[in-house]
Amino acid sequence: MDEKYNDNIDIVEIAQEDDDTLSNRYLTFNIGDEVYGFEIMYVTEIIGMQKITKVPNIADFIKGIINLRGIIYPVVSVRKRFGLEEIPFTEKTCIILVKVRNMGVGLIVDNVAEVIRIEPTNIFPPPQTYKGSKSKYISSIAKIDQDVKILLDLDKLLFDEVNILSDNN
Amino acid sequence: MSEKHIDNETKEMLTSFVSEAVDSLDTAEPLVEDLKTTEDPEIVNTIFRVFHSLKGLSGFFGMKVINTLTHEAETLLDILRKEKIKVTEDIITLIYSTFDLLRDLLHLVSNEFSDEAGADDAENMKIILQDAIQKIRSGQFSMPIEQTGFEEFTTPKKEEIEKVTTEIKAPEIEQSYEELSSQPSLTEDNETQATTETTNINFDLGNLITEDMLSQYISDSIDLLEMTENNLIQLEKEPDNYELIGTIFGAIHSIKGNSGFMGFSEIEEIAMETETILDSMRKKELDADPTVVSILLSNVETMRKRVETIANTPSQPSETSEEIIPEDSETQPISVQPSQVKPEPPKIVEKIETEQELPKPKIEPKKESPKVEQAPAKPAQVTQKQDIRVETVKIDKLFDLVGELITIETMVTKNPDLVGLQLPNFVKAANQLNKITRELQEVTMSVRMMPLEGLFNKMKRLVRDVSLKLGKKVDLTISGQETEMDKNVIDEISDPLVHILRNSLDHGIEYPEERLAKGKSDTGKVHLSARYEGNEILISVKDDGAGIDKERVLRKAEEKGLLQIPPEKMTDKEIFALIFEPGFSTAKQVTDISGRGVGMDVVRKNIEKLRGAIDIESEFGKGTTVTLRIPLTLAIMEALLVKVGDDTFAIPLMNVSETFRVMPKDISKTMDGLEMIKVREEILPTFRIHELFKIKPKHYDLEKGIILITESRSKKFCLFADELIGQQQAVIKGLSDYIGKVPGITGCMILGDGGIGLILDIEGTLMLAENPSHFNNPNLIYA
Repeated sequence: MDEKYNDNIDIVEIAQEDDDTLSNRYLTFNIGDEVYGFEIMYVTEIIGMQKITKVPNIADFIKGIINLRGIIYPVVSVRKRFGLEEIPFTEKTCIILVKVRNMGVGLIVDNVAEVIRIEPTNIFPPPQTYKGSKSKYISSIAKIDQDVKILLDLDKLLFDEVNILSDNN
Repeated sequence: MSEKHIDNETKEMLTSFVSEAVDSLDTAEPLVEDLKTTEDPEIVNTIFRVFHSLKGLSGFFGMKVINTLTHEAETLLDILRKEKIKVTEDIITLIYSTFDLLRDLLHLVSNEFSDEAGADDAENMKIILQDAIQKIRSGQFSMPIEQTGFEEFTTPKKEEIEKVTTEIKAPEIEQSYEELSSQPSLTEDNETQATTETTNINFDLGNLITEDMLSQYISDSIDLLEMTENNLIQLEKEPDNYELIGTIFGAIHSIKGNSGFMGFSEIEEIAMETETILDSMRKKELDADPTVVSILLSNVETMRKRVETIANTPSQPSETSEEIIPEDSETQPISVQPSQVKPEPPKIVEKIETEQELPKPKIEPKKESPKVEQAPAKPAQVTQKQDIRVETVKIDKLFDLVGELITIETMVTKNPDLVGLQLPNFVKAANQLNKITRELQEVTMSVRMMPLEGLFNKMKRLVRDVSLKLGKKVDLTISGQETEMDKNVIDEISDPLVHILRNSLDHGIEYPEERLAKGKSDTGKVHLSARYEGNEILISVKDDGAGIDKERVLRKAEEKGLLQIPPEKMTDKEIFALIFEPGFSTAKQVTDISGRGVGMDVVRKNIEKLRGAIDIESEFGKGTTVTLRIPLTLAIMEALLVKVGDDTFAIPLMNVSETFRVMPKDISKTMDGLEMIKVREEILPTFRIHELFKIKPKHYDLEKGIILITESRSKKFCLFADELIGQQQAVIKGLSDYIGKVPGITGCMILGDGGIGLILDIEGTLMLAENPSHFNNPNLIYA
């Protein structure tokens, strides 16, 4: 079996901190060249790539399920959800476990970047001109110095117009 | 009731009182309906006893409202059983309402530890009951079955009531109170060795008693008490075993004598009270019902504790009779003073610490003396019981843990690291472990299994109430109530079943005139049944009502925009399935019984949550059958593992009858491309798992892989997989909340190597194979 997945699981537990310190803090990650982020309060754990069991006849952005310490989590390819081409998993590929609508879901991202603090004053609504069909997953844009980070609406990312039982989403 | 002073112990007692009381109501309720039809005196008696024992217990706990209410109800039942009155619908309704009110009151008790909030309701009900009693007595309510003696029966009746009242005041009861009052106050003794100058009789015997005599007494007493305890438990099972009562009586009598001689007046006292109860039982004045047995057991326990205390105290026996016994609220003796008149409940009088003020004999002891209200905290300590009540949370936890254990057991014994190793001792130990985990699983499972009887009984009541309300005549028959099901599942299907029954009564069964016009009997028939089929339980509600009007369903569905497929292409099954769509209701009128347009979709959702399914069969004008198919267990099953490509699939062993390799000559193919395999005399359709689930397999040739003959409810067919792995217990896990239910897949399991296997749902697999479009259900979109 794929031993490389079973051993050396790179688990980064997010330290449980007070709500105070959690607010305004964002986990950022990379998909291709872009930096995305969402509020850290959604994150339960970040793990390395796991062996994914495919579940047939479901939406193709849901890559399957994983067994993490006896609990089954679905894993979603953020790339695929964005309509981007999927790339082979690398050592940097991570699964971010989040809890949205009280459901645990794993998000496959190219690379986890960092946890940063973004003041509300640096957060702006997404530009109106930015109108791709996938842009609805964007909640806002954060500008820090010269960098732009796209902040995601996780609820929309996971639930908006999702037909789980279909191959063609 | 002074609520503030209720300690935890009392709360616990009250909780257990409530749950037992509710149980007894639940048990008796289905019998109420039978009162109408049967003349079996046992039925009246049983219901009578429920009221009777509730009355006794509520009195004991100081629940005046319940006490008063049950008293009236008991009187009513007493008349019914004595006078053989023909029981009318009104009386049944009245009894039902009393049951309902009692439940409400008990609910109050469990929440507030007092029933006072229900006093007004109870008062109203009391008046209604009294009115009914009055009417029956005066012959208005109904005619007695025996016409003779009609004139007389009112008069002696009153006399009897008179008698009851006087008997209550019988000197014996007062005497018992006097006995209580003459007892030295018990609470005045401290927990520590009190140095009160307790003067008691028998002290002059002190010097006559030797150490030997004392130890002899102790061991004798303990033996006798243990024996008695066992006998009492036996007695609970055989309440009519008078020989046993005699034996118990003898033992208690000896203890009484010995204790008296030794100077342990307290034990003597308890023994005496116990003896009195037993004596009444011997004389058949008191039934050996669980309540009485509990009290007796509690007394035995108290005596044993005292004897043990004596045994642990190295002082002179005679001087210690009072002092060495630490006053412990738990060991308060209880005495039951049975009344001399049968219809009266046993007076459960508590001998409690009388804080200076001695209890005065009450004029109406049945209403309970004030002292009980002051301290309802020290009731019977029920020590020995056949069964124990366990919180379901604990059982659920146990269940989960067993599930985890089975998974881990597989991960250990089928660990990939072990491959190729010769480990005879390990294998032996592993087999042992496997055996034990299986046994543990079976036992755990059986703990949660309960017969459906309770649920079905509730339905009897529902059918009765609803049909009365609707003015329809319905005859409900029940079968398979002994079928056992996981308790959690029973709880889950209760609401759906209620809904289905209501629908059947409301929309299915026609009004009597309508039925007669159709040439049916005016009484509608509803049959509620349960049976096992494979690893499922089928619960069905079958009525001979109007049936489902397909045209109307379609019209309605169109109106509501629920039609996905053109009607002419829909099968009956698909049409009926529309009923379960959210927002669908075919009822012409909205009634408060059903047809609010909500519900059937919720019913389906709830059943699907249990991995179950609903089938509807209906013939317009003839009737409808709704069948719930529920998996037997929620969590664990025996599965056959197969490999398809890189994936592992688990197929419920129940569904697999055979596995084999096929010979090319046995394979044929229709022009539609459906492959068929000849198995002995049968030609079976064959489906490839890799095609159904779009997987890249290792083998495309049927003869290279493995063929499994599987059986669904209706069909036998073959499945094709790459290779067989073996048999294993599967702890079923969901595919996560996010993914939910996927066609053809029940869930998943964790494999020995930590990987995941998908568990096939054979019914769903068949549907997927036969009609893949069926699963394009637009309702599954998250919004």
